[in-house]
Order: sequence, then structure tokens, then C-alpha cells
Amino acid sequence: MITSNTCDPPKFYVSIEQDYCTLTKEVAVAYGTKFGRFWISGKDALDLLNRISTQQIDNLKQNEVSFTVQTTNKGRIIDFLTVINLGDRLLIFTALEAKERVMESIDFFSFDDDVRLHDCTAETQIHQLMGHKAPIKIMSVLEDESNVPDLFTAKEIIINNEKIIIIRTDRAKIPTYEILSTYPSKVIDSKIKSMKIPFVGTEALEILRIEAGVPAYGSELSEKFNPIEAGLFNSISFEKGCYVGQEVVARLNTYDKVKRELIRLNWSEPGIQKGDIIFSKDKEIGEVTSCVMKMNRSYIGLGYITRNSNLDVIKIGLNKVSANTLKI
Amino acid sequence: MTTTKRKPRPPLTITISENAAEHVKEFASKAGKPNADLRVAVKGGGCSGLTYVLDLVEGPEEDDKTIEQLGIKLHVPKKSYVFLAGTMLDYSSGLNGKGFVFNNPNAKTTCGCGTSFGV
Repeated sequence: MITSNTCDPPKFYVSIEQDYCTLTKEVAVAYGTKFGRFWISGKDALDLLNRISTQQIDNLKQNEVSFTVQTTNKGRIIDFLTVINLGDRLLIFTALEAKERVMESIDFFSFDDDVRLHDCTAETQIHQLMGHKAPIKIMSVLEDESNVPDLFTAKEIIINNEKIIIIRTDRAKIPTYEILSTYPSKVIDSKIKSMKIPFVGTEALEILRIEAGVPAYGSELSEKFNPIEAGLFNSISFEKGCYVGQEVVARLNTYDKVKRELIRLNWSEPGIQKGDIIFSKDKEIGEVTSCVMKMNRSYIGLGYITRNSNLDVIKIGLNKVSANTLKI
Repeated sequence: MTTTKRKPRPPLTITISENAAEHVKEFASKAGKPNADLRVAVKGGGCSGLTYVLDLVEGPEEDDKTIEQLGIKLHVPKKSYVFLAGTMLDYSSGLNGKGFVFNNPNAKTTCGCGTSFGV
């Protein structure tokens, strides 16, 4: 059992294969230790976020969830944010490592806004209930069907005097409920234990993320890249108007000036690492940004390559390992 | 001894052109608030980091600085004033689009749509 709400869980519980199988075919729980989270309250909270990030969120209704990208004035990625409107306040999920930077940036731009920030990472915990059977299992966890949120919505409920917020995001392209509770949570921990829902480690989650082509902070999401290169089109509004970095992002899209694209890779030789070069017929076209072993002699990864590269013969790393590519 | 002529500083106030004043009165009338004042403010965000905000209001808010010109009362929040001092609010109806234009001497960068600026 993990004793901290931010420390790293194990890489696997039974085995990577078993964890992955449970995730994809059944239902499992993962600790959301990679999320930073904070509250934004005040009447200008949504309007401010709308002025400094890519998605149109000033019209986000109560209990709706949206995804947006905070960018620099050069249109580069600060972080990918999950915004949950709970009516009187917003709950924001960031990458744990990016939380301070995101909060500082919001604070910087809020000089004349009615906005208050409160970091709740240390006092809360997140459990992710994931898998194709998650929509059935969540009903038992939350005791009542009416407590279960639809996709991209949130519910705030109380079980045994404990306030719990449940969000359905399906962020790795399988049914996913994120359950935010106070830390430590007696209710959620005991329910998971009594229902014998298996836990999964970080490696199976990483396989799932890479297979879904979901970019992660520190790998695909950083100030080296812009949100179009990262394939975050669903989190960008090209109609909303001004936000920090908008002119650059709009220009890249309008004039088709995006230089790189994110792709999926798979290969069967060990030794490939994050940062290894991707070659097309001996020409450098990009680099590996994430990689993981899916099973014995089967590896998958993500990488940025120059757009419109020839993908017929792809090799990666010093040993020029042959790889296949898949568009995201 | 040599002397250099200093470039005259823009006045540390906010002015409004006759054209802009007429349009403010027209918009106020159309909005059913013929006696409304104009609140001019700056908020964080937008392409260049800071965004102009114009609002028809009934009166000043606490800590607003009020300037009266051409029959229009302009209310400016103190925190915004530092970014707006010297600005002349104009109205453009040229080929590049209609709307209020901020001629702001503090703006080092402006975005294409004119609603955002950087200092």
C-alpha cells in the first residue's frame, strides 16, 4: 500500500503483463500520483484561464470538464491542464512537476482579477478507476448510480461524511474515473480493499498511454514543443481569439508551418532510450521521447519527427534498430 | 557644455478622441444606458500578455480614478492606470476594421487584433 499521495507507486503489482491485461480487459485502480492539483476561486477564474490558455473555457458549465494547454507567449507548452468547473470554484489538474510553474503563471496574470489559488496536492489524493469494466464497478464504489458522472463531467458527493469528487476523463482512451478525496481517505481506500479491485503499477499505465498516443509532461509536453506538434488539437480553439501565445499557434496552423509531428513507434530490440535519434534512410528526422517494453522483445514508444518525413525505412538509436511507425 | 533636448513625455492621463466619445455615447444609448460611464481597464492574458477591457458602467468602483472628457466619464482602476497612462482612446472605422483603438505609449508590442499588448 502506498503511504504517500505523491510518491511513486511500484512499476507493477503482479507482472507488467498481468497489470496490462487487467487494465484492458477488466478493471483496476491506479494511484494518480503524477497529478498536481489546485483550486481556483473568485469570479474571474474562468475568464482568466480563458485569456491564458488555448481552449475556449469561459463558457464551461458547472460540473463540466475541459482540457486546455497553457502556453508561453511564444506558443510553447507550459503544461496540459484539466479544468473542472464545480460552480463556486475550479479544480485544476496539472502534471505534478509543472504545478508550481502553472500556478505562478496564473498568479502573474491575475494582478487585477478576483482570483484566489490554493494548492491542494498535499491534502488530497487521486485514485484512477480504469478499464472497460470501470463504468460498472464505479456504481458499487459510489453506492448509487446517480453519483456516477458522464464522460467529461464531474460529480461532487459525500459518502460517510467525506467529500469526494469524481471525474470521467477517459484520458488514455479507455473508461477512466478520477476520484479525488481528502488524504488519507478512509472511504475510498476501504471500498477498494473490500471490493478487491486490483491495483496496477506505472509500467502498464505507460504502455496504455503510449498506445493511445497521449503526450506526457517532461517527455512530449515541454517548452521545446507547441500544442499542434503534440497533437493536442482537441484542446485548442482556433476561434476564441486572444490568449497568451495565440498569435503563434494560429499562425502555425493557418500557414501550415508546423515542423514536427508526434508519432508512435514499435520495435523488437532492447537498448532504445528516451532521447535516441530516429533515422529515415540514415537521415536524422527526430527523437524518441517515451519508450517502454510492452512484453518480451516488443517495445513501443513515442517520438517527434520532422513532418512529411519518409517513413518507409525507420531506424532508431546508435544501433539503428528497425522500427515501425504509426500515425497518432 | 552641450544640452540635449528631451523628447516630451506623453501626458500622464488618459484622453478620448471626439470620434471615440461619440461612439461611446451611441453604444450607451443603444444599450439602453444613455447616462452610462466608460470603465477602461487592463487585465492579464491575451496574445501579448495584457488585454484591454472596456465596459459601460453606472459609476466608479472603489479605487477607480475618474477622468471626465467630452461629456464622458472614464473610470480607470488604479492597478490598470500604470499601463494606460498617456493612452488616447480613439475609434477607427477604416478598412482594417471598426472599433475602439488604444494609442498606448506604454505598449511595446501589440497583437494583430489590437485588444492585447505587452509592456
